[in-house]
Amino acid sequence: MTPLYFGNSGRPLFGVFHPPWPGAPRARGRSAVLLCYPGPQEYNMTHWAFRKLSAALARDGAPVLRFDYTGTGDSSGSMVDGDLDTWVADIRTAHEELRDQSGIDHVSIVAMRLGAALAARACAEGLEVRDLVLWEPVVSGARYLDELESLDRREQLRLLHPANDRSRDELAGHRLTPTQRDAIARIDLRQLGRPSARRVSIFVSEEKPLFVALREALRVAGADSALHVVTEHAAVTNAGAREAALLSNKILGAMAAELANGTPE
Amino acid sequence: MTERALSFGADGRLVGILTEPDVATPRVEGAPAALLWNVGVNHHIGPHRSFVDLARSLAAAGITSLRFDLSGLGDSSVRRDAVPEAVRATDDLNEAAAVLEKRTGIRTLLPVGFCSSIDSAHAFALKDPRVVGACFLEGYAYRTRGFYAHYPMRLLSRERWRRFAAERLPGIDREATDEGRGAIGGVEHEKAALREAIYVRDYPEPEKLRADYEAMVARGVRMLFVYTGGDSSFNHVGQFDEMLGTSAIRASGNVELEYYPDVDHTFFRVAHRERVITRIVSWAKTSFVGGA
Repeated sequence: MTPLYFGNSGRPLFGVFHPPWPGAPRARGRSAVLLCYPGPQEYNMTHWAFRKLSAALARDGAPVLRFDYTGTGDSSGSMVDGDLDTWVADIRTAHEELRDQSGIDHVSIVAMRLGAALAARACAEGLEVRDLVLWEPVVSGARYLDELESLDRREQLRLLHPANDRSRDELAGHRLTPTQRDAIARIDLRQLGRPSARRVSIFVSEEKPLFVALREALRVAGADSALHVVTEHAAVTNAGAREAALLSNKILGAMAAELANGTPE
Repeated sequence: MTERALSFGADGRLVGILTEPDVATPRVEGAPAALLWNVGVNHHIGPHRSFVDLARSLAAAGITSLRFDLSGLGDSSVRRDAVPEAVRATDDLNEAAAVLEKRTGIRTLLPVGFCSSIDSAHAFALKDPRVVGACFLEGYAYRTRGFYAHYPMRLLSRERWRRFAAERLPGIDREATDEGRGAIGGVEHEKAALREAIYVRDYPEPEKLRADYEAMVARGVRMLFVYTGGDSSFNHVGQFDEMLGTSAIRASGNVELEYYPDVDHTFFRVAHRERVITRIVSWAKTSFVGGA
Protein backbone atom coordinates (compact mmCIF):
# COMPACT_ATOMS: atom_id res chain seq x y z
CA MET A 1 0.00 0.00 0.00
CA THR A 2 1.13 3.54 -0.69
CA PRO A 3 0.32 6.48 1.56
CA LEU A 4 0.10 9.73 -0.37
CA TYR A 5 -1.08 13.32 -0.39
CA PHE A 6 -3.03 14.42 -3.46
CA GLY A 7 -5.33 17.08 -4.82
CA ASN A 8 -4.94 20.82 -4.41
CA SER A 9 -1.42 21.51 -3.09
CA GLY A 10 -2.86 24.31 -0.98
CA ARG A 11 -5.11 21.93 0.91
CA PRO A 12 -3.92 18.39 0.16
CA LEU A 13 -5.89 15.29 1.02
CA PHE A 14 -4.34 12.20 2.57
CA GLY A 15 -5.06 8.79 1.20
CA VAL A 16 -3.76 5.24 1.07
CA PHE A 17 -3.66 3.51 -2.30
CA HIS A 18 -3.84 -0.29 -2.31
CA PRO A 19 -2.77 -1.80 -5.64
CA PRO A 20 -4.19 -5.22 -6.54
CA TRP A 21 -2.28 -7.97 -4.82
CA PRO A 22 0.35 -9.72 -6.92
CA GLY A 23 -1.28 -12.84 -8.25
CA ALA A 24 -4.80 -11.52 -7.71
CA PRO A 25 -7.29 -12.45 -10.42
CA ARG A 26 -7.22 -9.88 -13.22
CA ALA A 27 -10.86 -9.71 -14.10
CA ARG A 28 -11.46 -7.84 -17.32
CA GLY A 29 -13.56 -4.78 -16.74
CA ARG A 30 -12.84 -4.74 -13.03
CA SER A 31 -13.47 -1.35 -11.51
CA ALA A 32 -11.23 0.45 -9.06
CA VAL A 33 -12.84 1.06 -5.67
CA LEU A 34 -12.96 4.32 -3.76
CA LEU A 35 -13.68 4.02 -0.03
CA CYS A 36 -15.34 6.91 1.77
CA TYR A 37 -15.05 7.03 5.56
CA PRO A 38 -17.88 8.04 7.91
CA GLY A 39 -17.81 11.42 9.63
CA PRO A 40 -15.03 12.34 12.06
CA GLN A 41 -16.98 11.25 15.14
CA GLU A 42 -17.12 7.68 13.83
CA TYR A 43 -13.81 7.65 11.97
CA ASN A 44 -11.45 6.21 14.58
CA MET A 45 -13.69 3.27 15.41
CA THR A 46 -14.06 2.28 11.76
CA HIS A 47 -10.52 2.84 10.47
CA TRP A 48 -9.50 -0.78 11.01
CA ALA A 49 -12.59 -2.09 9.21
CA PHE A 50 -11.69 0.12 6.23
CA ARG A 51 -8.19 -1.24 6.17
CA LYS A 52 -9.52 -4.80 6.23
CA LEU A 53 -11.98 -4.03 3.44
CA SER A 54 -9.18 -2.46 1.38
CA ALA A 55 -7.10 -5.60 1.75
CA ALA A 56 -10.04 -7.86 0.83
CA LEU A 57 -10.76 -5.86 -2.34
CA ALA A 58 -7.08 -5.72 -3.31
CA ARG A 59 -6.87 -9.49 -2.86
CA ASP A 60 -9.79 -9.76 -5.27
CA GLY A 61 -7.83 -7.76 -7.82
CA ALA A 62 -9.27 -4.27 -7.35
CA PRO A 63 -7.13 -1.17 -6.90
CA VAL A 64 -8.43 0.71 -3.86
CA LEU A 65 -8.08 4.24 -2.54
CA ARG A 66 -9.28 5.27 0.90
CA PHE A 67 -8.86 8.89 1.88
CA ASP A 68 -9.55 11.48 4.58
CA TYR A 69 -11.89 14.41 3.98
CA THR A 70 -10.62 17.97 4.46
CA GLY A 71 -10.11 18.67 8.16
CA THR A 72 -10.24 14.99 9.15
CA GLY A 73 -7.61 12.29 9.63
CA ASP A 74 -4.28 13.28 8.11
CA SER A 75 -5.74 15.61 5.50
CA SER A 76 -5.04 19.30 5.70
CA GLY A 77 -7.12 21.72 7.69
CA SER A 78 -9.15 21.47 10.83
CA MET A 79 -12.72 20.34 11.34
CA VAL A 80 -14.06 23.85 10.87
CA ASP A 81 -12.47 23.95 7.40
CA GLY A 82 -14.66 21.10 6.24
CA ASP A 83 -18.30 21.24 5.28
CA LEU A 84 -20.54 19.00 3.25
CA ASP A 85 -19.87 20.85 -0.02
CA THR A 86 -16.11 20.57 0.54
CA TRP A 87 -16.35 16.89 1.41
CA VAL A 88 -18.44 16.11 -1.68
CA ALA A 89 -15.81 17.93 -3.75
CA ASP A 90 -13.15 15.85 -1.96
CA ILE A 91 -14.88 12.68 -3.19
CA ARG A 92 -14.70 13.95 -6.75
CA THR A 93 -11.01 14.76 -6.29
CA ALA A 94 -10.30 11.32 -4.82
CA HIS A 95 -12.26 9.67 -7.64
CA GLU A 96 -9.97 11.39 -10.14
CA GLU A 97 -6.87 10.47 -8.15
CA LEU A 98 -7.88 6.81 -8.10
CA ARG A 99 -8.33 6.81 -11.85
CA ASP A 100 -4.85 8.29 -12.23
CA GLN A 101 -3.24 5.92 -9.75
CA SER A 102 -4.87 2.78 -11.12
CA GLY A 103 -5.08 3.60 -14.80
CA ILE A 104 -8.66 2.32 -14.68
CA ASP A 105 -11.54 4.50 -15.85
CA HIS A 106 -14.35 2.65 -14.07
CA VAL A 107 -14.66 3.42 -10.38
CA SER A 108 -17.02 1.98 -7.79
CA ILE A 109 -17.59 3.54 -4.39
CA VAL A 110 -18.10 1.98 -0.97
CA ALA A 111 -19.11 4.66 1.48
CA MET A 112 -20.13 4.42 5.12
CA ARG A 113 -22.57 6.39 7.29
CA LEU A 114 -22.13 10.13 6.60
CA GLY A 115 -19.71 9.17 3.83
CA ALA A 116 -22.56 7.29 2.15
CA ALA A 117 -24.70 10.43 2.18
CA LEU A 118 -21.82 12.43 0.70
CA ALA A 119 -21.05 9.86 -1.99
CA ALA A 120 -24.72 9.52 -2.93
CA ARG A 121 -24.93 13.28 -3.31
CA ALA A 122 -21.77 13.37 -5.44
CA CYS A 123 -23.28 10.72 -7.71
CA ALA A 124 -26.66 12.47 -7.83
CA GLU A 125 -24.78 15.59 -8.92
CA GLY A 126 -23.20 13.76 -11.82
CA LEU A 127 -20.19 11.81 -10.59
CA GLU A 128 -20.38 8.61 -12.58
CA VAL A 129 -19.56 5.34 -10.88
CA ARG A 130 -20.19 1.71 -11.67
CA ASP A 131 -21.34 0.42 -8.28
CA LEU A 132 -22.40 2.64 -5.41
CA VAL A 133 -22.34 0.72 -2.13
CA LEU A 134 -23.98 2.54 0.76
CA TRP A 135 -22.82 0.94 4.03
CA GLU A 136 -25.03 1.72 7.03
CA PRO A 137 -25.93 4.98 5.28
CA VAL A 138 -27.05 8.14 7.00
CA VAL A 139 -30.47 8.47 5.38
CA SER A 140 -31.74 11.30 7.55
CA GLY A 141 -29.32 13.98 8.72
CA ALA A 142 -31.61 14.93 11.59
CA ARG A 143 -31.67 11.32 12.78
CA TYR A 144 -27.90 11.13 12.43
CA LEU A 145 -27.49 14.19 14.64
CA ASP A 146 -29.74 12.53 17.21
CA GLU A 147 -27.45 9.52 17.10
CA LEU A 148 -24.37 11.67 17.57
CA GLU A 149 -26.09 13.39 20.49
CA SER A 150 -26.72 9.95 21.95
CA LEU A 151 -23.08 9.02 21.44
CA ASP A 152 -22.10 12.26 23.11
CA ARG A 153 -24.41 11.59 26.05
CA ARG A 154 -23.04 8.11 26.49
CA GLU A 155 -19.46 9.40 26.46
CA GLN A 156 -20.50 12.04 28.95
CA LEU A 157 -21.88 9.26 31.11
CA ARG A 158 -18.52 7.56 31.05
CA LEU A 159 -16.73 10.81 31.83
CA LEU A 160 -16.50 12.23 35.28
CA HIS A 161 -16.47 15.78 34.08
CA PRO A 162 -19.31 16.26 31.67
CA ALA A 163 -19.41 19.31 29.52
CA ASN A 164 -22.34 21.06 31.08
CA ASP A 165 -20.93 24.27 29.70
CA ARG A 166 -20.24 22.62 26.37
CA SER A 167 -20.49 24.87 23.44
CA ARG A 168 -22.86 23.79 20.72
CA ASP A 169 -19.86 24.05 18.43
CA GLU A 170 -18.77 20.63 19.68
CA LEU A 171 -20.35 17.22 19.36
CA ALA A 172 -19.06 13.76 20.28
CA GLY A 173 -15.50 14.93 20.79
CA HIS A 174 -15.16 17.05 17.65
CA ARG A 175 -15.95 20.57 16.62
CA LEU A 176 -19.17 21.01 14.73
CA THR A 177 -20.19 24.53 13.80
CA PRO A 178 -23.84 25.57 13.67
CA THR A 179 -23.49 25.89 9.89
CA GLN A 180 -22.17 22.33 9.62
CA ARG A 181 -24.91 21.11 11.92
CA ASP A 182 -27.62 22.81 9.86
CA ALA A 183 -26.24 21.35 6.64
CA ILE A 184 -26.22 17.85 8.12
CA ALA A 185 -29.75 18.29 9.43
CA ARG A 186 -30.95 18.93 5.89
CA ILE A 187 -29.67 15.60 4.55
CA ASP A 188 -32.44 13.34 3.30
CA LEU A 189 -31.22 10.66 0.92
CA ARG A 190 -34.82 9.75 0.06
CA GLN A 191 -35.13 13.10 -1.73
CA LEU A 192 -31.84 12.87 -3.59
CA GLY A 193 -32.99 11.48 -6.89
CA ARG A 194 -31.13 9.00 -9.05
CA PRO A 195 -27.39 8.63 -8.53
CA SER A 196 -25.23 8.16 -11.64
CA ALA A 197 -24.47 4.56 -10.79
CA ARG A 198 -25.14 1.36 -12.66
CA ARG A 199 -26.26 -0.22 -9.42
CA VAL A 200 -26.87 0.99 -5.87
CA SER A 201 -26.43 -1.55 -3.08
CA ILE A 202 -27.34 -0.77 0.51
CA PHE A 203 -25.55 -2.92 3.09
CA VAL A 204 -26.78 -2.82 6.66
CA SER A 205 -26.51 -5.07 9.68
CA GLU A 206 -30.11 -4.53 10.75
CA GLU A 207 -33.17 -3.77 8.69
CA LYS A 208 -34.74 -0.47 9.70
CA PRO A 209 -37.62 1.46 8.15
CA LEU A 210 -35.31 4.22 6.94
CA PHE A 211 -33.22 1.80 4.91
CA VAL A 212 -36.28 0.23 3.34
CA ALA A 213 -37.58 3.71 2.53
CA LEU A 214 -34.27 4.61 0.92
CA ARG A 215 -34.32 1.53 -1.30
CA GLU A 216 -37.87 2.34 -2.31
CA ALA A 217 -37.00 5.98 -3.04
CA LEU A 218 -34.07 4.88 -5.20
CA ARG A 219 -36.28 2.43 -7.05
CA VAL A 220 -38.90 5.11 -7.70
CA ALA A 221 -36.13 7.39 -8.97
CA GLY A 222 -35.18 4.71 -11.47
CA ALA A 223 -32.06 3.31 -9.84
CA ASP A 224 -31.23 -0.39 -9.83
CA SER A 225 -31.10 -0.76 -6.08
CA ALA A 226 -31.00 -3.55 -3.52
CA LEU A 227 -31.01 -3.74 0.25
CA HIS A 228 -28.72 -6.36 1.78
CA VAL A 229 -29.13 -7.15 5.45
CA VAL A 230 -26.02 -8.86 6.79
CA THR A 231 -26.52 -9.65 10.44
CA GLU A 232 -23.45 -8.97 12.50
CA HIS A 233 -22.79 -9.79 16.09
CA ALA A 234 -22.88 -6.04 16.67
CA ALA A 235 -23.59 -3.15 14.38
CA VAL A 236 -20.71 -0.77 13.84
CA THR A 237 -22.94 2.01 15.06
CA ASN A 238 -23.45 0.18 18.32
CA ALA A 239 -20.53 1.79 20.05
CA GLY A 240 -21.23 -0.27 23.14
CA ALA A 241 -19.80 -3.22 21.27
CA ARG A 242 -17.22 -1.56 19.09
CA GLU A 243 -14.64 -4.27 19.51
CA ALA A 244 -17.00 -6.95 18.19
CA ALA A 245 -17.93 -4.77 15.22
CA LEU A 246 -14.31 -4.07 14.39
CA LEU A 247 -13.46 -7.74 14.43
CA SER A 248 -16.37 -8.83 12.28
CA ASN A 249 -15.65 -9.77 8.67
CA LYS A 250 -19.11 -10.75 7.54
CA ILE A 251 -20.39 -7.50 6.08
CA LEU A 252 -16.96 -6.67 4.65
CA GLY A 253 -16.89 -10.00 2.84
CA ALA A 254 -20.44 -9.52 1.58
CA MET A 255 -19.64 -6.10 0.11
CA ALA A 256 -16.42 -7.35 -1.51
CA ALA A 257 -18.33 -10.27 -3.02
CA GLU A 258 -21.03 -7.95 -4.35
CA LEU A 259 -18.43 -5.79 -6.10
CA ALA A 260 -16.65 -8.83 -7.55
CA ASN A 261 -19.95 -10.36 -8.72
CA GLY A 262 -20.86 -7.19 -10.51
CA THR A 263 -17.75 -7.24 -12.66
CA PRO A 264 -18.70 -7.63 -16.31
CA GLU A 265 -16.84 -10.36 -18.15
CA MET B 1 4.18 23.59 8.07
CA THR B 2 4.58 20.81 5.57
CA GLU B 3 3.40 17.22 5.79
CA ARG B 4 4.72 14.25 3.87
CA ALA B 5 3.39 10.72 3.80
CA LEU B 6 6.13 8.14 4.25
CA SER B 7 6.52 4.41 3.85
CA PHE B 8 9.61 3.38 5.72
CA GLY B 9 11.38 0.57 7.49
CA ALA B 10 13.44 -2.26 6.06
CA ASP B 11 10.57 -3.60 3.99
CA GLY B 12 8.57 -0.39 3.75
CA ARG B 13 5.93 -1.81 6.05
CA LEU B 14 5.61 1.24 8.30
CA VAL B 15 3.47 4.25 7.43
CA GLY B 16 3.73 7.69 8.95
CA ILE B 17 3.39 11.41 8.43
CA LEU B 18 6.42 13.66 8.72
CA THR B 19 5.38 17.15 9.84
CA GLU B 20 8.00 19.86 9.50
CA PRO B 21 8.20 23.57 10.10
CA ASP B 22 8.41 25.59 6.90
CA VAL B 23 9.82 28.95 5.89
CA ALA B 24 7.16 30.77 7.87
CA THR B 25 8.29 29.07 11.07
CA PRO B 26 11.80 27.77 10.50
CA ARG B 27 13.02 24.65 12.20
CA VAL B 28 14.77 25.23 15.49
CA GLU B 29 18.23 23.77 15.12
CA GLY B 30 19.10 21.43 17.93
CA ALA B 31 15.51 20.70 18.87
CA PRO B 32 14.60 16.99 18.97
CA ALA B 33 11.97 15.48 16.71
CA ALA B 34 8.82 14.22 18.39
CA LEU B 35 7.70 10.63 17.83
CA LEU B 36 3.99 9.81 18.12
CA TRP B 37 2.49 6.36 17.63
CA ASN B 38 -0.53 4.21 18.41
CA VAL B 39 -2.55 4.64 21.57
CA GLY B 40 -4.30 1.30 21.96
CA VAL B 41 -5.97 0.47 18.65
CA ASN B 42 -6.20 4.10 17.58
CA HIS B 43 -4.17 4.66 14.46
CA HIS B 44 -1.52 7.34 14.21
CA ILE B 45 -3.86 10.35 14.23
CA GLY B 46 -4.36 9.70 17.95
CA PRO B 47 -7.55 9.78 20.02
CA HIS B 48 -9.91 12.41 18.59
CA ARG B 49 -7.19 13.40 16.08
CA SER B 50 -5.07 14.78 18.92
CA PHE B 51 -1.72 13.79 17.39
CA VAL B 52 -2.46 15.67 14.18
CA ASP B 53 -3.19 18.81 16.17
CA LEU B 54 -0.11 18.26 18.35
CA ALA B 55 2.17 17.67 15.36
CA ARG B 56 0.96 20.83 13.64
CA SER B 57 1.30 22.90 16.82
CA LEU B 58 4.84 21.60 17.34
CA ALA B 59 5.71 22.48 13.75
CA ALA B 60 4.43 26.00 14.34
CA ALA B 61 6.94 26.18 17.20
CA GLY B 62 9.77 24.96 14.95
CA ILE B 63 9.72 21.31 16.03
CA THR B 64 9.55 18.38 13.60
CA SER B 65 7.54 15.25 14.31
CA LEU B 66 6.75 11.85 12.89
CA ARG B 67 3.43 10.23 13.74
CA PHE B 68 3.29 6.65 12.59
CA ASP B 69 1.74 3.23 13.06
CA LEU B 70 3.56 0.33 14.64
CA SER B 71 3.73 -2.92 12.66
CA GLY B 72 0.31 -4.41 12.14
CA LEU B 73 -1.60 -1.40 13.45
CA GLY B 74 -3.30 1.47 11.66
CA ASP B 75 -1.91 1.77 8.14
CA SER B 76 1.30 -0.21 8.76
CA SER B 77 1.73 -3.78 7.57
CA VAL B 78 2.25 -6.78 9.77
CA ARG B 79 5.80 -7.83 10.50
CA ARG B 80 6.37 -11.32 9.14
CA ASP B 81 8.79 -12.66 11.72
CA ALA B 82 7.66 -13.66 15.20
CA VAL B 83 9.06 -11.34 17.84
CA PRO B 84 7.56 -10.23 21.14
CA GLU B 85 5.42 -7.08 21.03
CA ALA B 86 7.86 -5.05 23.11
CA VAL B 87 10.76 -5.90 20.80
CA ARG B 88 8.64 -5.12 17.78
CA ALA B 89 7.75 -1.70 19.15
CA THR B 90 11.38 -0.84 19.90
CA ASP B 91 12.43 -2.01 16.44
CA ASP B 92 9.70 0.12 14.87
CA LEU B 93 10.79 3.14 16.91
CA ASN B 94 14.35 2.61 15.70
CA GLU B 95 13.08 2.50 12.12
CA ALA B 96 11.20 5.75 12.75
CA ALA B 97 14.33 7.37 14.18
CA ALA B 98 16.31 6.21 11.16
CA VAL B 99 13.90 7.68 8.62
CA LEU B 100 13.75 10.92 10.59
CA GLU B 101 17.51 11.26 10.46
CA LYS B 102 17.61 10.33 6.79
CA ARG B 103 14.90 12.82 5.81
CA THR B 104 15.71 15.70 8.17
CA GLY B 105 19.16 15.11 9.66
CA ILE B 106 17.66 15.30 13.16
CA ARG B 107 19.33 12.82 15.51
CA THR B 108 17.73 13.64 18.86
CA LEU B 109 14.29 12.42 19.83
CA LEU B 110 11.28 13.27 21.94
CA PRO B 111 8.91 10.28 22.29
CA VAL B 112 5.35 11.03 23.39
CA GLY B 113 3.71 8.14 25.24
CA PHE B 114 -0.01 8.20 25.95
CA CYS B 115 -1.77 5.54 28.04
CA SER B 116 -0.86 2.14 26.58
CA SER B 117 1.98 3.54 24.48
CA ILE B 118 3.68 4.56 27.73
CA ASP B 119 5.20 1.10 27.87
CA SER B 120 7.13 1.43 24.61
CA ALA B 121 7.86 5.13 25.20
CA HIS B 122 9.34 4.40 28.59
CA ALA B 123 11.47 1.50 27.37
CA PHE B 124 12.72 3.50 24.40
CA ALA B 125 13.47 6.64 26.40
CA LEU B 126 15.33 4.62 29.00
CA LYS B 127 17.59 2.78 26.59
CA ASP B 128 18.15 5.06 23.65
CA PRO B 129 20.75 7.82 24.08
CA ARG B 130 19.18 9.80 21.23
CA VAL B 131 16.22 10.56 23.49
CA VAL B 132 16.69 13.98 25.08
CA GLY B 133 13.09 14.56 26.10
CA ALA B 134 10.00 12.48 26.79
CA CYS B 135 6.38 13.27 27.40
CA PHE B 136 4.23 10.82 29.34
CA LEU B 137 0.47 11.40 29.13
CA GLU B 138 -1.38 9.32 31.70
CA GLY B 139 1.82 7.50 32.57
CA TYR B 140 2.55 4.95 35.25
CA ALA B 141 0.77 5.58 38.53
CA TYR B 142 0.70 3.67 41.79
CA ARG B 143 -1.84 4.08 44.51
CA THR B 144 -0.17 5.66 47.49
CA ARG B 145 -1.35 6.46 50.99
CA GLY B 146 -2.07 9.94 49.69
CA PHE B 147 -4.24 8.45 46.96
CA TYR B 148 -6.37 6.68 49.55
CA ALA B 149 -6.44 9.78 51.72
CA HIS B 150 -7.92 11.66 48.77
CA TYR B 151 -10.19 8.79 47.81
CA PRO B 152 -13.11 9.76 50.13
CA MET B 153 -13.29 13.02 48.20
CA ARG B 154 -15.01 10.96 45.54
CA LEU B 155 -18.04 10.84 47.79
CA LEU B 156 -18.27 14.59 47.49
CA SER B 157 -18.09 14.47 43.73
CA ARG B 158 -21.44 15.37 42.26
CA GLU B 159 -20.36 13.87 38.95
CA ARG B 160 -19.55 10.48 40.41
CA TRP B 161 -22.97 10.38 42.08
CA ARG B 162 -24.59 11.48 38.84
CA ARG B 163 -22.88 8.67 37.00
CA PHE B 164 -23.66 6.17 39.73
CA ALA B 165 -27.33 7.05 39.44
CA ALA B 166 -27.32 7.11 35.66
CA GLU B 167 -25.87 3.64 35.44
CA ARG B 168 -28.60 2.27 37.66
CA LEU B 169 -31.67 4.09 36.45
CA PRO B 170 -33.59 2.28 33.75
CA GLY B 171 -34.52 4.32 30.71
CA ILE B 172 -31.52 6.59 30.84
CA ASP B 173 -31.48 6.44 27.07
CA ARG B 174 -35.22 6.93 26.77
CA GLU B 175 -34.96 10.14 24.84
CA ALA B 176 -33.00 8.51 22.05
CA THR B 177 -34.67 7.66 18.78
CA ASP B 178 -35.11 4.10 17.55
CA GLU B 179 -31.92 4.35 15.55
CA GLY B 180 -30.30 6.18 18.40
CA ARG B 181 -31.27 3.43 20.79
CA GLY B 182 -29.54 0.98 18.53
CA ALA B 183 -26.52 3.23 18.43
CA ILE B 184 -26.41 3.62 22.16
CA GLY B 185 -26.59 -0.02 23.03
CA GLY B 186 -27.44 0.89 26.60
CA VAL B 187 -25.43 1.18 29.74
CA GLU B 188 -25.14 -2.58 30.07
CA HIS B 189 -23.50 -2.77 26.67
CA GLU B 190 -21.16 -0.04 27.69
CA LYS B 191 -20.21 -1.79 30.89
CA ALA B 192 -19.65 -5.01 28.98
CA ALA B 193 -17.43 -3.18 26.49
CA LEU B 194 -15.43 -1.72 29.33
CA ARG B 195 -14.99 -5.16 30.86
CA GLU B 196 -13.84 -6.51 27.51
CA ALA B 197 -11.47 -3.61 27.07
CA ILE B 198 -9.50 -4.51 30.18
CA TYR B 199 -6.17 -6.00 29.36
CA VAL B 200 -3.09 -6.78 31.31
CA ARG B 201 -0.05 -4.52 31.39
CA ASP B 202 3.09 -5.17 33.35
CA TYR B 203 3.91 -2.05 35.27
CA PRO B 204 7.47 -1.76 36.48
CA GLU B 205 7.85 -2.07 40.24
CA PRO B 206 8.01 1.35 41.91
CA GLU B 207 11.67 0.88 42.82
CA LYS B 208 12.50 -0.01 39.23
CA LEU B 209 10.51 2.96 37.95
CA ARG B 210 12.33 5.33 40.29
CA ALA B 211 15.69 3.94 39.16
CA ASP B 212 14.65 4.30 35.51
CA TYR B 213 13.62 7.94 35.96
CA GLU B 214 16.82 8.67 37.89
CA ALA B 215 18.85 7.17 35.08
CA MET B 216 17.04 9.36 32.54
CA VAL B 217 17.46 12.46 34.67
CA ALA B 218 21.16 11.71 35.08
CA ARG B 219 21.39 11.49 31.30
CA GLY B 220 19.83 14.94 31.04
CA VAL B 221 16.51 13.77 29.60
CA ARG B 222 13.79 16.35 30.15
CA MET B 223 10.42 14.91 31.03
CA LEU B 224 6.85 16.14 31.14
CA PHE B 225 4.24 14.09 32.96
CA VAL B 226 0.55 14.84 32.51
CA TYR B 227 -2.09 13.06 34.57
CA THR B 228 -5.85 13.52 34.46
CA GLY B 229 -8.59 13.12 37.00
CA GLY B 230 -10.50 10.54 35.03
CA ASP B 231 -10.86 6.97 36.20
CA SER B 232 -7.20 6.57 36.94
CA SER B 233 -4.94 5.62 39.80
CA PHE B 234 -3.78 9.19 40.10
CA ASN B 235 -5.89 11.67 42.05
CA HIS B 236 -3.74 14.51 43.35
CA VAL B 237 -0.64 16.34 42.25
CA GLY B 238 1.41 15.30 45.26
CA GLN B 239 1.02 11.66 44.34
CA PHE B 240 3.92 11.77 41.91
CA ASP B 241 6.40 12.49 44.69
CA GLU B 242 4.67 9.98 46.97
CA MET B 243 5.07 7.30 44.30
CA LEU B 244 8.72 7.89 43.75
CA GLY B 245 9.83 9.02 47.18
CA THR B 246 12.17 11.87 47.82
CA SER B 247 14.76 11.62 45.15
CA ALA B 248 16.87 13.54 42.75
CA ILE B 249 14.17 13.23 40.12
CA ARG B 250 12.12 16.30 40.95
CA ALA B 251 15.07 18.21 42.37
CA SER B 252 16.87 17.91 39.06
CA GLY B 253 14.69 20.52 37.44
CA ASN B 254 14.39 18.22 34.43
CA VAL B 255 10.92 17.01 35.33
CA GLU B 256 7.66 18.90 34.97
CA LEU B 257 4.34 17.65 36.20
CA GLU B 258 0.80 18.62 35.34
CA TYR B 259 -2.39 17.29 36.88
CA TYR B 260 -5.73 18.14 35.29
CA PRO B 261 -8.46 17.06 37.74
CA ASP B 262 -11.26 18.12 35.40
CA VAL B 263 -9.97 16.30 32.32
CA ASP B 264 -10.77 12.77 31.27
CA HIS B 265 -8.53 10.01 30.11
CA THR B 266 -8.83 10.42 26.34
CA PHE B 267 -9.15 14.22 26.36
CA PHE B 268 -12.61 13.85 24.87
CA ARG B 269 -13.43 17.54 24.94
CA VAL B 270 -11.87 19.89 22.40
CA ALA B 271 -10.89 22.43 25.07
CA HIS B 272 -9.07 19.74 27.04
CA ARG B 273 -7.06 18.69 24.02
CA GLU B 274 -6.18 22.29 23.30
CA ARG B 275 -5.04 22.71 26.90
CA VAL B 276 -2.72 19.72 26.92
CA ILE B 277 -1.32 20.49 23.46
CA THR B 278 -0.57 24.05 24.52
CA ARG B 279 1.16 22.69 27.62
CA ILE B 280 3.29 20.21 25.68
CA VAL B 281 4.33 22.78 23.09
CA SER B 282 5.14 25.32 25.80
CA TRP B 283 7.25 22.73 27.63
CA ALA B 284 9.03 21.72 24.44
CA LYS B 285 9.81 25.34 23.60
CA THR B 286 11.12 26.03 27.09
CA SER B 287 13.14 22.83 27.14
CA PHE B 288 14.54 22.71 23.65
CA VAL B 289 13.96 25.96 21.83
CA GLY B 290 15.25 28.39 24.38
CA GLY B 291 12.18 29.96 25.90
CA ALA B 292 8.43 29.72 25.57
